[in-house]
Amino acid sequence: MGRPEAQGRSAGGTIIAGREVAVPRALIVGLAALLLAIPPLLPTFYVWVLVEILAFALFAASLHLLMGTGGMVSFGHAAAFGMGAYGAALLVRWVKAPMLLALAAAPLAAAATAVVIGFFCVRLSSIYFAMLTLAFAQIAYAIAHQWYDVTGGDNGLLGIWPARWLASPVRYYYLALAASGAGLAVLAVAGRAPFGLTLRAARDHPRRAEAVGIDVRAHQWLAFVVAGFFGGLAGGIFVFLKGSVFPESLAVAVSVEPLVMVLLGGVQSLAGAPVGAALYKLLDTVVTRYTEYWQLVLGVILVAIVLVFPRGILGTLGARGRG
Amino acid sequence: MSPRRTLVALAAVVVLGAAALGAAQTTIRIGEINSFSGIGAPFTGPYWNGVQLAIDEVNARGGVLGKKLDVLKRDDKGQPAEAVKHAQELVASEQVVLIAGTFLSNVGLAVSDWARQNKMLFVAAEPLTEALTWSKGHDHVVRVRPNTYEQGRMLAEKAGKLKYTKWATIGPNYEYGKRAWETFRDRMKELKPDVQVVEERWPALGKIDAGIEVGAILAKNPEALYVSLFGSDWITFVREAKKRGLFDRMFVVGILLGEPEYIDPLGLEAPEGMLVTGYPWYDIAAPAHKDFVARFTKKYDKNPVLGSLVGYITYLSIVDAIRKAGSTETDKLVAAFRGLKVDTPIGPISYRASDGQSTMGAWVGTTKLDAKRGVGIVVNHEYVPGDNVLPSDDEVKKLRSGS
Amino acid sequence: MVLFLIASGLSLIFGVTRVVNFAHGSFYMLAAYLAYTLAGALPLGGASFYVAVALAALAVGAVGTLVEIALLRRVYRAPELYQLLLTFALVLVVSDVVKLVWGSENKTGPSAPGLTGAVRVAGQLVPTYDLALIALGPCVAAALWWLFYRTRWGVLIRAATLDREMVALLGVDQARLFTGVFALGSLLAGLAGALQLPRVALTTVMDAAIITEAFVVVVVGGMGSVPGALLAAVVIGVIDAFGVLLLPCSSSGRGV
Repeated sequence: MGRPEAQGRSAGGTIIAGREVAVPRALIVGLAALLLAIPPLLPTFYVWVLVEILAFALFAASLHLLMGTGGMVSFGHAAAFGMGAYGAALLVRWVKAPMLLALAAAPLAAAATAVVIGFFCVRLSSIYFAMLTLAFAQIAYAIAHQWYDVTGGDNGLLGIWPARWLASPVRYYYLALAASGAGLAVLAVAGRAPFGLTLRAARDHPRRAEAVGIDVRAHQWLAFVVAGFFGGLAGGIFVFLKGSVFPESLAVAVSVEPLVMVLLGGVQSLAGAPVGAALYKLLDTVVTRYTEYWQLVLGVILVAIVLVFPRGILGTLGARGRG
Repeated sequence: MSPRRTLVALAAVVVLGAAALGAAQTTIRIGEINSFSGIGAPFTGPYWNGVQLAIDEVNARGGVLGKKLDVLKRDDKGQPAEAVKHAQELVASEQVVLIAGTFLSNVGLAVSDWARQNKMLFVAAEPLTEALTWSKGHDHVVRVRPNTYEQGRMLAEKAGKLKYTKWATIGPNYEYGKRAWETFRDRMKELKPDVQVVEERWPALGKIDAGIEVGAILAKNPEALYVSLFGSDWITFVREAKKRGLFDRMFVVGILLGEPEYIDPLGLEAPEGMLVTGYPWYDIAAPAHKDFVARFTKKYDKNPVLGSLVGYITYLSIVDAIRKAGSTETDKLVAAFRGLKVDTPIGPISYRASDGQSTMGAWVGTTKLDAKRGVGIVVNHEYVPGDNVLPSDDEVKKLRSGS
Repeated sequence: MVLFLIASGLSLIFGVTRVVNFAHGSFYMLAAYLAYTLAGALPLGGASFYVAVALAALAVGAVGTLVEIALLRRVYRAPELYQLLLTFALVLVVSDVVKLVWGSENKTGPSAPGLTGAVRVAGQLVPTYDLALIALGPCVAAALWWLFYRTRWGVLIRAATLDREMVALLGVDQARLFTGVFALGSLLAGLAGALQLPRVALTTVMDAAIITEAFVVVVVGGMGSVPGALLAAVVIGVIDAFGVLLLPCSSSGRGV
C-alpha cells in the first residue's frame, strides 16, 4: 500500500541539491596545527570534550559518506557506532585484549555487521532504506539489552579503560586525533576518488549509472560497509573515553545525532560533518552545564541556526561566498 | 570553518575553562549528578529539594570545617555516558571533593566504575542494584538507600507468613526489576518451599502494554502477584488492572509502591490491601522526623516524599563524613565513611565498613485509601532497619570477591 | 486505534510535504497534557472530559499550523532532509516547555465519564473505554475517507501525495496545501494524545515512547497512505499482542 516510488530507484534518493563546497587546504592545515598544539594548554575537561568531538566528527563523517555522497539516509547508523564500541569492549572484557588491539578490532566488528545489514538494506530505496536500517539498529539494541550473560544487559560493560601509558587525557587525545584524523582523511580521499564519483552518479541518476555499466547495488553496499567501518572506529574511540558501553550506544538517539550534525554543518561537503559535530557537541556541553532547561535552550538555538543557515553552516557560507 | 571562527571558538573555550578554574577554594564543592530529565525526572525533583534543605541548613550553621558547602548540579539525562562526562568535568574543572547522586542503577554502576578508576569517592544516593556494593563494589563507593536485596527480603519475611503459594510477577525488563523479584522469590522459597511461580511478565521499562500484561497474568490464575514496576508503568498498570478486576482476584505485593512518589499520583485509584515497602511520612512518631516534615513543608509548600528524605540523608552523611575526616581529601573521606554513624530524622544509621551500604531501612505495611487526603497511604507499618536484612560481613566478602 | 490516529497524521504529512516530522510525538504529548489540565478546569461536569479532548486536539492542530507557517515554510527550499533538523529541535523545545509548565512528576489523567467500567468479552474483562476507542477508529477512518475522496481539498491532497510538482504546476497554492496538511496531521496526533488520557500515565518522555512505533506503522503501511496506516496499525497491534504473549520478555525490539 501507499504510493510506489516514482521510478525504480536504488537505495539512494534525491536528497542533495546543490554542489560541493570545497574547503581551502590552508584552512585544514591551520586547523590541524591548532589541534596538535592546543590541548596541553587546555583544562583537562576540555581535552575530554575535544576527544568526544573527534569521535563524533568521524562518526558524522562516516554517515556523510553514506548520506551525502551516496544519497542513502540511514536512521540506524548507531549500529556501526555501537557495534564498534561493543566489539572493543567485549574483547577487553572476555579476552583481556590489550587496548590497541581492541581499538583496531572495533571498526572490523562494525564493518562485519555492516556487510550483513547492508546486504539487505541496499535493496530498498530512500525512506524504506532508512527504516530498515533503523530496524536493524533496534535489533542490535535488543540483543545488547537481552544477552545479559555476554553484554551485561543494561548494566553494560565497565572497566574499559585505555592502557596505562595512554590513560592521561592529553595522550589519549593524541591517539584519538590520530585515529579520527586518519579516518577523516581516508573518507575525504574516498569521496574524491572514482569510488566517490561512482556513488554520486548512482545517487543522482541511478538508471544512467546502470546503463553505463556501474553496478549500483554493489557500490552502495561497499559504501555501507566503509561507513560502518569508520562509524565503528568512532565507537571504539568513544568506549575507551568513557570506560564503558551500554545498550544506549545502539539506541535511536545515537542514530539521530550524526544526522543532526551532518545537516547542521551542511550536507554538501564532507567538511560539514566535523563542523556540525563540533558545534553540536560544544553547544550541548555548554548549555547542559549552565541551565536546567538545556533542551529548551538547545532547541531554540538549533531552530535559529536552521533559519539562518538553511543549507547547513558550510552550505550557506559556500553559497553566499559564490554569489 | 573560517580561521577567525575557529579562533573565536577556541578562545571562548579557554576563557570558560579559566573562569571555572578561577573559582577560589573558599567553599567545599560537591558534584551532584542525577537524572533531572528523562525517565528519572519525576523522582529527582523532590530528591533535589531534600538536598537543598540539607545544604541550606548546614550552611546556615556555618558550614563544615569553616567553609560553606557548594553543590554543583548536573543532568545525566538518564545516560551512563553523560554521567561519566559530568563526573570528569566536575573533578577536572570544578575541583569537587566527591561525586554524589545518580538514580538509575546502570548510571550508578558507570559512575562507580569511573570513581574506582579515578580514585574519587562516589556517594550513591538512589540506585538500587546490589552489584553497586557487592559484585562490583569497591572502596570508593557507598550507598544510602536500602537496596533491592534488602527490600525484597523485607517483603518476603511478611509474605512468607501468608497462605499464598501460587505466585506471578511483573516487573520492568532490566536488572533492577529482575533482582527485585529474585531476592523476594529466593527468600520466599526458603520460608515456604511449596511456593510455585506460575507466570513472569517483563515489559520493557516505560513501554508497558498494560492490557496485554494484565490479561496474561489473569489467564494463569495466580493467588498472589509481586510487582516491581514503578513510575508511569505502574500507573498505567493499575488503571488497566482495576478495570479488569485484577486486584479483586489476587493478593498484591509491591516493592517501593508505598512510597508517596508512586502512590500519590494514583489519587483515590490506589489499590488497597497491598503489601508494600514505602514511606509513611504522615505517620512517623519520632519528633525529629515530624520536625523534618515541618521544615520541608515550610520551605517547599508540599510534603516530602522518599526521594526527599534520601537526598537529605545523603548530604547529612556527606557533611558528617567531612567532619569526621577533618579534611576533604579522598582517602580520609573514604576512611571516614567506614562505620560512619549519622543522626537522621528517622534515627541513627551507619555505613557498613564491609560494603559501604548504609543501614537505612524501609517501612513495610499495607495500603489503604485516605479519603480526606485523597491519596493512598500505608497503614500497619513497621520500620525494618537495614541491618536486619543485610548479609553478614563474611557473606559480603564472598559476594565481593567475584569482582 | 490511537496508533492509527497518530500514524495516519504522520503518514499524511510525509506523503504530501516529504517532511519527516519527529515532532509528531511531541504534539501527541502536548495534547495529552493540555487535555489533562482542561478536563480538570472546565466547569462542565461529565462533559468536561470530552470537551477537553476535543479542545486539546484542536489546540495542537493550531500549534502545528503555526509551526508550519512560522518555521517550516522557510526551509522548504532547503535539501529535503533539512526540515528534519527543525522538527528535531522542536522536539527538544516542546519537551522542556511541557516540563516547565506541568512539572516533571508523572500525572494520572481522569477516567472518561460514562466509560469507566468493563464488560465481559469472550471470558475476559475488557474496559468499555477501550471498546469505545476501537469503535472510534473506523469512524475516524471513514471521516478521513470522506475528506479525501469527496472533497476538492482531498483530491488535491491525494494528487500531491502522488506528484507534488505536478500539482504545483497546475496552479494550486502549495503553501496553503502544506499548511492544511500539517494542521490535519497535528490534529490527529493531538487527538491520539488526548484520547490516551484515561489509559496511560502522563510523562515527559511520552513523545519518545510513541514516535518510533508511529514510524514503524507508517513505513509498514506505506508512506502517504492512510488506509495503509490503518491496516498496519491493526496488524502491528495484533502482532504486538501475540509477541508479548509468546515472549514475556518483550524488549525494545518491538518494532521488528
